[in-house]
Amino acid sequence: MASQAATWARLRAFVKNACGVVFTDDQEYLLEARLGPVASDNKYSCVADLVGAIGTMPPDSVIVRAVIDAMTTHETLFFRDAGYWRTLDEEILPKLSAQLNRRRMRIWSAACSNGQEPYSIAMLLEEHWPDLARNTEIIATDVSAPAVERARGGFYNNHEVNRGLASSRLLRHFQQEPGGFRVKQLLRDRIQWSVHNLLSHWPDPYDCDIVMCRNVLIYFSDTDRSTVLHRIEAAARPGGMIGLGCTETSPRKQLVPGWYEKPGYESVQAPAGTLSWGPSRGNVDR
Amino acid sequence: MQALVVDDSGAMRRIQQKMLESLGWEVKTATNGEEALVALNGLPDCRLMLADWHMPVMDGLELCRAVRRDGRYARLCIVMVSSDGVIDSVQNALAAGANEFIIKPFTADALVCRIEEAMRG
Repeated sequence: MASQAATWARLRAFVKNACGVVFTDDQEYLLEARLGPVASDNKYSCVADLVGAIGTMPPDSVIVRAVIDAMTTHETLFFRDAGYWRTLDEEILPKLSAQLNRRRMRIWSAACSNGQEPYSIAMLLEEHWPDLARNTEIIATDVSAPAVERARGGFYNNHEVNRGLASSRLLRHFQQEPGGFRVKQLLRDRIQWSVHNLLSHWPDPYDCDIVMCRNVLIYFSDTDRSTVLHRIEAAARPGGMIGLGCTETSPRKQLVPGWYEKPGYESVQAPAGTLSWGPSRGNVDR
Repeated sequence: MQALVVDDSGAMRRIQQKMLESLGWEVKTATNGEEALVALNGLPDCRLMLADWHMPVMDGLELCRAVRRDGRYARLCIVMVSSDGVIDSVQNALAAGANEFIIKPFTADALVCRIEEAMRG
């Protein structure tokens, strides 16, 4: 049987290759904590056997997806960082909505984890921007298929609704179910969910007015971080907004901590090797 | 800033007191609604009250209503604490005057979220 250190090294390389997430030497404790349940659920006698087996499995196999899900962080909460959402509500949406001119708004929540972020967007729009809410496409993606499925269902337990969700919002947007609360159908229908890997050659959403990719870059290597930054910026329209975590930075102009503006059409130059920008000018009725 | 924790369970009082003190609050405690009203009388600067729903003598709901009838406590934020995580309970608590509702058991970071919401509202 491989030593724990060798298993950890192998897993780190596998996860980095699969989704770009980087672990350090001192995180070896995560091996058993996160993969122990996956190994026993899938009838492996130990974590080392599981890690030894995943290298030869197709990337979309159930077990590989379970490993990626277990090793990626899903810790998030509704309306994380109040100031960030206040800026979106009071500065960004007024500005961007005034520029729409019959076009639909498109918002991409990249790395949406269990869905608290896209649902926060949908709640905010429904409360303060009801007309815009009906005219906005919210795209939510994550590398973890189980996380996306959970998010799509919109069910959250008591602990999850305790965190970040004002009671008035719980009353307005959720319905009671055994063991917790489910987001009402109206909001669930406003979000398009899909599994998406920010480091694979998968097509990104494009022509987005807002791209949120928060508290994700910190898990990537410098090279991958740069690649992801280019990709999410490429997904935004010229003049669109990029939302990052408050401790994450972009070379672009920062409005307030966490929010960056993509330069307008005239000054944009696509970084080499990134996808095309998509249609960027004029009014596009969809 | 001063806060008042109202709960008939000694263990819950201690847990909530520790959570609030770690956030910098100066915390007083009471074991039911009536005691809480007496305590509030001597705490003119109290800004936050965590009130358990189910208590003997005077429960959290009655306490909320009594506090909201008294103009001296207009700036007091109330977070109702209950293990009944049901929509009706949340609705009734807010209707009685609570600013926020938190479902037991809860973690310190969840309490921070609820307090921030209560203070913001």
